[in-house]
Amino acid sequence: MRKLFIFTSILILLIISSCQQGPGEEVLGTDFKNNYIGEVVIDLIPLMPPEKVHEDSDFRVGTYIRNQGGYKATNVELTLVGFDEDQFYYGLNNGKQYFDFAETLKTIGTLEGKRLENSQGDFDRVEYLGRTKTLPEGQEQISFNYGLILNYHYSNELVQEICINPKFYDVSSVGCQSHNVDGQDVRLEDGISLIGQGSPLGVKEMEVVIHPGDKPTLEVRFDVKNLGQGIAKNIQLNLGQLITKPMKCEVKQKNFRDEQEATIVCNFNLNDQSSYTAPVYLKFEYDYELTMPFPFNFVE
Amino acid sequence: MKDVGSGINSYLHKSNSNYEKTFHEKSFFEEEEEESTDKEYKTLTGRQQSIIKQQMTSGSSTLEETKELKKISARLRELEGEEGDVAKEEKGAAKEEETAAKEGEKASEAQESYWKKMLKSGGKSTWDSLNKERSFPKKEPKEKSTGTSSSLALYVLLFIIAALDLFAKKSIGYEPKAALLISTVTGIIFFLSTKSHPGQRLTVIGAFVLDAAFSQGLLYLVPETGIKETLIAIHVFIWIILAVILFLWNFFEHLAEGHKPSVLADLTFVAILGFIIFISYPLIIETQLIQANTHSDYFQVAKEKAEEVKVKFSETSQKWSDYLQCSLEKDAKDPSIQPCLKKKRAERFCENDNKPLSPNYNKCVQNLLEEGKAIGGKTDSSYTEHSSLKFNTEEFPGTVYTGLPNPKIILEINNPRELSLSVDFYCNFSKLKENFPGTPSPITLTKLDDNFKEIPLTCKPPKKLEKGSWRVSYSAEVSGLETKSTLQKIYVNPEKTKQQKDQTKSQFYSGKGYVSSSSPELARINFMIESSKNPLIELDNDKFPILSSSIENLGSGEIISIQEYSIDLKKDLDIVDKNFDKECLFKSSPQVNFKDKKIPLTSCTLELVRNELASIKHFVPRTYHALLKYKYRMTKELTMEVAAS
Repeated sequence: MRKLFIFTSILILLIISSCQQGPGEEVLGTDFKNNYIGEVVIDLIPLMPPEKVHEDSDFRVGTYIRNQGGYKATNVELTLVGFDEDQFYYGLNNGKQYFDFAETLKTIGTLEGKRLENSQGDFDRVEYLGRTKTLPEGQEQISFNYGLILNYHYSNELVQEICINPKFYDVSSVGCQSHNVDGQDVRLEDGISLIGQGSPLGVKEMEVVIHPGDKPTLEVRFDVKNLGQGIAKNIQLNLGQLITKPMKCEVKQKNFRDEQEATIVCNFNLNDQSSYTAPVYLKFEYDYELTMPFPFNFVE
Repeated sequence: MKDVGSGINSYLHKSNSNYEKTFHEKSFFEEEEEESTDKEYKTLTGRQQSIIKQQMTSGSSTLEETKELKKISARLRELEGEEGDVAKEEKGAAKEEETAAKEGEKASEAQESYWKKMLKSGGKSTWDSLNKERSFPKKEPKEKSTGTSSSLALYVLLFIIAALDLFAKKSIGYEPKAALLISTVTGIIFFLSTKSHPGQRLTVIGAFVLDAAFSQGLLYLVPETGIKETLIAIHVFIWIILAVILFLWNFFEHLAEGHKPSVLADLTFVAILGFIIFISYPLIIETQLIQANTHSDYFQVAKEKAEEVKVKFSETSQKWSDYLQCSLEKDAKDPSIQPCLKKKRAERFCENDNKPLSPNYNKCVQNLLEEGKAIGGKTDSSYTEHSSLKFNTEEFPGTVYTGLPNPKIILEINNPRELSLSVDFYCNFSKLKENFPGTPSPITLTKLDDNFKEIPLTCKPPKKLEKGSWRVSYSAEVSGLETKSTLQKIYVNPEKTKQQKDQTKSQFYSGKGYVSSSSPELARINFMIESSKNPLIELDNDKFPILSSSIENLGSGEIISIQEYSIDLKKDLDIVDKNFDKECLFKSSPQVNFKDKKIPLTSCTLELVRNELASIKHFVPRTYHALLKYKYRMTKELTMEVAAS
């Protein structure tokens, strides 16, 4: 009886543990804007298109566009590219609208990100209708990659507690000796490493520098990097705040489009010499482009 | 005492050693050693000589010495009564040696008898006879000459085998597995041929490893390496180079040993040098070209190399006097003679249609120098069908017993696109100075649109053929042939980042190489827009792409005429200067030099005319086609033996 109890208990535990989320999923809790890299992704719908498409036949390219980041994506557009006019019909044919001449654009608009009401984020289904022509003489198959290019406008926010200690050499000052980042005690002079803020372009590292003196100043440097699969086109700074007071911020970028990284430097004049911890807030926006290749097999 | 003993032993050892060589494999190059041994004997003191005699008569020598003495004794005994025929002597010596080994006692008796005789005569006559025997090769200069010539002839043979290796690989198009097999066969022949020379044998093994394992292996496993050009060069040239090295090695080895090679060897040496310099260079360049091309086809690499070498070849196919002149005119600041060669070729090309130094001539030369590179194309192996012409000679009689034969061969026409073809037949008989056309049957065929057709072709001589060997030449001139070439380009928004452009190129370009491609037909038109190294076209307001094209003969026959060529740019692009460059996209019956393997056509500047392409956000693949309509001649020449007239 006792053995049966132990066996049953183990079985139940196994079943329960197997119902837990897999290792790939993020444990977010209710904070959808911290500690992970989120972005808008393209998922191909199975058999759209099928593995092989024959001559003179219709087919569909079907996708789900999912916002798996923590912010609202606006101006979402999906463009189908790579289908050559040599092998595929363009435009109106037999009353059906096939691919456009150059690039077939579908506008999605807005997709909300992960939030309390929808922890999976919004998604939309997009389909394109295509039709094959005949293969060139002497060829039995053509294989190539077509592309789906997703463009959207996104944002990123960072809230991080920092230690402000203008009395740099006064080790006895107790306002803050250290603060906690990702479960680790970080001292004032250390750089702070971050995972991400639920966005493909995020702050990867930040550094807090106090310039002591009669009128001490605070300098916070944010290293922004592209952490996603696509390309960030630009970066627009919205706001930098210390508690509720705005900081003077500027984006320093040499060649952002190619390097895909920038540094945002924020300065703040401290009024007194007291030591304390305080949150800094940073928000910026950007345009993002994700290009995904998918194989296509055109056969006889 | 020690010195006396060592002197004796040394003499005995050398004497025996020389004796053995004399009767076995003695060659010219060992004469000096023998003479020194003789001298050494003569330098022995009288006491030492007497000890030798004493040892031999008393039988108190060691076992080894006894054996050696027995051999010498037997030999000397043989020499006592023989001074005649060398061959007989050798045979007798061998036989005697064997007998002496078996019948020790008899040999001892012979020794006693010999030494008694020698002592009686003071040893003079026997010593003289020994000397005579030792110096007999000097009396045989023929052997010296034959030996040198025969070994050199072997190396000449190796050179021929290396050349055959080159031809065989060329004929199979450097298909990797077949090329490896040919290399293996060549390697085995080289290996067996150098068995008497360990150093050369080691070199052969090294060459084989270099060819098969290093060059072919790396090309097969890692097609895209930084040293691919070197690997191709090794693969193509290794056996020819090895043959030359072995020949020269042997040649100079003989010279170093103080032996003058025969006249034949001298002539061969000069002939090989001549062959290397004046005949094989264009062949080698062409062969490297084919290898590089095939390597491209099999592994999609070496394309750029092929282009480079093809251009070089077209330049080297000019007269050798150009090389001489350019070498003499070479600028000290720029040691390369390539620009000079290119100029010479351009001048010769332009002389065909223009009066030298006239404005048109100068313009022609200038154009060729600036843009004269005939662009290349690519064979697309994904095409499962293509047109081909082939003579099947299975039914051709090797020997005929009549003066009025009607020898038959079969023309096989593959016409998968069922083009409407016409064929005109010709044939010819030739023998030494005789050369006259025959009457083919059929003479002409029209509207051949079968997928596959076998046409029996006979050739009747106009008169009775004399007995002997005749060359029969068949020609088929096929008109109505067409080849379609394809080029894919990707128009890309110039505002894209370099990373995005690279990504587009690597992930979305599906063309076969960045130059135009076609199925492996007999001839094709190659064309290129903007660049052969980049499939992307980035168009902004002040950028105009260039279109270049060429016609390439891919088969083993000749292009006789071109009916027309056309390039369809789908109204995406158009010629900027339509009056001047109108022949860039279409021309019927162009007059070009069909002898060249690649014929450059006019280049022109294009402009974008399709608005959609000017405003693309990302990229658009576009495929363009070109068509070549041409007439092609295939010729087959065969030898027929007329046994009875």
